[in-house]
Amino acid sequence: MTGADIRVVIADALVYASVPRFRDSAEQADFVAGRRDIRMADLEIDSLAAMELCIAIETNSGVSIAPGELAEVASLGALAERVERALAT
Amino acid sequence: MLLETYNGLVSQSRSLNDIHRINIAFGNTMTPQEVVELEESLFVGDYTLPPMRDDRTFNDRELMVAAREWIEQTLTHLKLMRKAEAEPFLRRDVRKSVTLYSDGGDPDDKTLIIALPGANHRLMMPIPSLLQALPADRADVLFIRDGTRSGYRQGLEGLASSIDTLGPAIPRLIDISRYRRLAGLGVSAGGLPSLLLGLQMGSGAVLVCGGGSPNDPRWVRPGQALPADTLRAAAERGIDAKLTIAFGTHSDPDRASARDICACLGIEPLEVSSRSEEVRHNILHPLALDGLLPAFLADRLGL
Repeated sequence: MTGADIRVVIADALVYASVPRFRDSAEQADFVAGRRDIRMADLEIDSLAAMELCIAIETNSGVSIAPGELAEVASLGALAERVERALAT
Repeated sequence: MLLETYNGLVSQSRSLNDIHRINIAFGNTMTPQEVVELEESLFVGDYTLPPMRDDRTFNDRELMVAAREWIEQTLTHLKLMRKAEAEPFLRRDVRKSVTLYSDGGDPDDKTLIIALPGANHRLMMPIPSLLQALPADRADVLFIRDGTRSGYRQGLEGLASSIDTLGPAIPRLIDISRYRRLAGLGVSAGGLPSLLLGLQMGSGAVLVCGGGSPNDPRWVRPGQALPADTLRAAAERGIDAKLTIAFGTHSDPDRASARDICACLGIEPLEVSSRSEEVRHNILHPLALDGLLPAFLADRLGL
């Protein structure tokens, strides 16, 4: 699974969770392509959406992240890197 | 029965995220009374955990903490509606992706609310919370989820291929003629489709919360009218319905979309603020925190 694959998983999960920032398809595309990063604080992500993001990551990559751990991650790019590192070890 | 279903799913879970997935799925379908029943089954009686998978990555205590946090949060939501009892909605699956919530009372006296959620299959809060804000003796709720999560632009799988053909297909699912009146409720990606559907079906009221723009290019499809054109045409013919296009005062994208919709209709959008928290995309949760959601829905949907 590549970094781009992980970004697709994250973007799809946020769309499915109705996170408003990800209704903008251009912003999604930029994130998936690695041209744009988005701070977690700028996402309007509620507790259920956080759970849905963690579920999608685990289902698609096998990497377990608890919803509470998202608070330790500064941005979606950093989250993708964290998943990538976990897959490499 | 509900507990057996919950236990069956929990026993197959490997991780806590699997448990969260079950809790979310239950929260997307349960009635208010089922929340109360499940809470009593899990935490009031002598609940015993079902046999669990050997390879699970969580212990019994972590499972019960996750279940308790979820149930307590859901019950807290129910209490925000400030009603003494759980609204007595019963759930009936009409077909895949379509669920009717009704207390079984005579439809002659009721409004049928056709509710279209966003991509997360919720109406800005868990379903039991939203149902608890509605009067079961005056309204039934037909809840239609878009399994493709494409904002109903492709209609509904196996029933209609576009939003334009969804309206005529709904009477095949439920006898809408028995109801006193219809109303529409749509949020997020279900907002604009709810308005289009409500106008098609002659709804007496439609409430759109945080809906998308009728100028969104994703609606461009061969042989299909653009939502903006459909709305303008409806306005020219004259609309005999109470329409509310609502957005959160702190959401600039939703403000712009609401203005786009209202420009087509020749009406003003409704800006929602709260004394409890910033109102961004989710306008229903802050209204619930303020204790205003039941009255807001009753007023805007004409219940």
